[in-house]
Amino acid sequence: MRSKVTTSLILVIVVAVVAGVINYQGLIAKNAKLAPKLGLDLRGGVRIVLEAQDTESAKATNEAIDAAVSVIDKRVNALGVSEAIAVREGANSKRIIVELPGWEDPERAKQLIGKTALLEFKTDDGKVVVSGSNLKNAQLVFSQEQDSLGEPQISFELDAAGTSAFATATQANIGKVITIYLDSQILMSPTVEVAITDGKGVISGGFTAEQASNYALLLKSGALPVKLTAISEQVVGPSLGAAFVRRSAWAAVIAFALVVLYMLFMYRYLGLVSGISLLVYVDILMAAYIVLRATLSLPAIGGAILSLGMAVDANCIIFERIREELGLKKTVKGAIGAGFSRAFRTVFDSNLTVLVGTAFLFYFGSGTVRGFAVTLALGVLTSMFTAVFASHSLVDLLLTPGIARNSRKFLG
Amino acid sequence: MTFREKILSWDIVGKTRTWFTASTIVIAIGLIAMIVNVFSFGSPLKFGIDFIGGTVINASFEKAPDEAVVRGILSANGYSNVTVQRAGEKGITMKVEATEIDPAVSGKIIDDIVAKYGAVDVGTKEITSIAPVIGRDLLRRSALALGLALLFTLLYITIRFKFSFGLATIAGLMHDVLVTLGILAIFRIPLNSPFVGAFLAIITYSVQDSVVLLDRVREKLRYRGKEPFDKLANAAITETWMRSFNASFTTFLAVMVLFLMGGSPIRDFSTTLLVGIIAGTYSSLYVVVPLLVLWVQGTEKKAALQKA
Repeated sequence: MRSKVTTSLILVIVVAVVAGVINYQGLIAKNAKLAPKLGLDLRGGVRIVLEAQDTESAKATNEAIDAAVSVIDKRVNALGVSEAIAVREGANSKRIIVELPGWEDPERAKQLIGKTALLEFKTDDGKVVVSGSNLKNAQLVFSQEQDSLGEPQISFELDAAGTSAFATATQANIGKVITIYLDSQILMSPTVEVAITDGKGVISGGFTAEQASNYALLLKSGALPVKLTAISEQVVGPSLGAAFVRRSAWAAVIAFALVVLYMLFMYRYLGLVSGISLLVYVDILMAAYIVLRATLSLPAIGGAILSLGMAVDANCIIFERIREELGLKKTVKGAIGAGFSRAFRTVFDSNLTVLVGTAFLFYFGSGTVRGFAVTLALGVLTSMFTAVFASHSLVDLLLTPGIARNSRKFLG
Repeated sequence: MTFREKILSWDIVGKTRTWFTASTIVIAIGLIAMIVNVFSFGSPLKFGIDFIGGTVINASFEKAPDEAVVRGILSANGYSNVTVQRAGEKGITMKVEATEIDPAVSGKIIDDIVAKYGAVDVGTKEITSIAPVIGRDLLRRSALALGLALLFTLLYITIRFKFSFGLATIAGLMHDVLVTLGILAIFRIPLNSPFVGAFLAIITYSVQDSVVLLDRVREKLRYRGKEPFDKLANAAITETWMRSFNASFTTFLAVMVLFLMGGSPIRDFSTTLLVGIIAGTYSSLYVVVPLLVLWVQGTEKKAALQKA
């Protein structure tokens, strides 16, 4: 008995200390690697939902949408937004969700993300000689020519295949026109004077500097294989999110204090135990959110509160059971042992029912529902751990020196 | 006699009629509110733009904008069916209905207000525009996930307990859902996507609370003597009453603090949770077990008749 108590106590302390270090690093020392991941509704930013649409030239097939996701992923990362994401809404969904934390301008984001950016060089007879997929690099430059000095242009560099194709085409078309199209719009129609063999060139199309830089970025990341339309966009002001997070953090601290006070009032000595074990619970849960990169959003907070309620409930079930066992004229020690083992069945069954439910919510639900399911499931697992190991060993520990051995009133 | 001892002497199952009447009245009021809403607003509940689609623009400016002027700006930009509300000291919230969305124009509207009231305070601008299809999808997928989750909860309870226990749990859950929807209808609280989270929390809470009670009924059944089922069930309720109250009250406290301190983004969300917690606690004590008693008494009577 004694050694079992010591083992679980050591286990609890080790887990709590590790969790504490993670929380300290993530929340107080502001270690970027361990910062909790906040949902867009809490940290601010732009969220855009795109839907792939069939066109005559390109069907929205599974492969095309996957390819589009990787193109968009390149584009948003090129924007320099940290933790920008582009994901498919579901395995077979036609929707792509793009989240740009901290970003505030949905219009520019949409321009950059939704543009097909198909670059084509066509000869007189409409044959495509080189396309955007042959591009190795593209960037904004300013014209050095006398007649167009300072005009924003896009300089490009072709890959090996593109270079040789371009060389052959220019060789064959000296004196003729090669037209450059971007998304089927004519950018320029220069007359070929000499064969271009180095695969380099500049496109001027009366761009502004911003347009040229956007196009360069788009061209570099490749063309989208399907037509995408933005069906939803959301901008959350970052300061709104920050103020909300601060207030919620305070709310959580106050709520926690009130819950512990109430438990102390109701269960006295056992209330103290539940206070400590709830503290361990919050400690482990927060660390679990951080380590598992669970996204904390409003619905997820709902799951977190519910799981705190269930953790308190586990304590209530156990303590009420101990009281009942005491009522059956058992010794304090016997009552505690019986109380824990009987109450555990109840806690186990009710928590397992909830876990079965969350598993289905996670598997079939979408983003919002999943966030809720993840935080709730983590909470339930943590609360089972603390109820079984922390509460039990704490009660036993404080019991051994004899504080409460003969004094029933300590048990509330 | 202490309060705890008093609880043990309560005859809760004996007053089943009273509890069912109370629940029926609350649910009926909610249903009436939904019907009234259908006639006066066109839908039983007030769906926010997350579900019906539309555009919401929030921003604070150097000077406090006047509602009428902003309404004028919106109608000059082609939006006449709008709701404009002052938000905070210098902020304003504009809601444009679904049928009229054009996200591209929202920038122009902001510019027009800026021309009158000065620059937007950094970080306060918030534009949300959502196509109606997203909301319908969210509802459909959430409902599917929920339906399956409930089906398997029923299956799980049937395996661990009994089918009748599962049915009683689901009935209690329907009760909580109806009560909560009724309150949402009465106060016309707008439903947006966080509401899905709050609703899931209520349903989970309801199931969890009922399972704890049913577990006690099961335990008592194991050591059952000649005791009639209603007495046994009543004892199960009174013995777990304190636990139910304490657990719910602490959760209630936590959500209440969030309600008071969380500010507007979370107010509707926490209101929904508060209603759900009260309904969930009440239903597991006063609806689920009494319902189970009616069911069991019915089958026991049938069995007795067959024997005779």
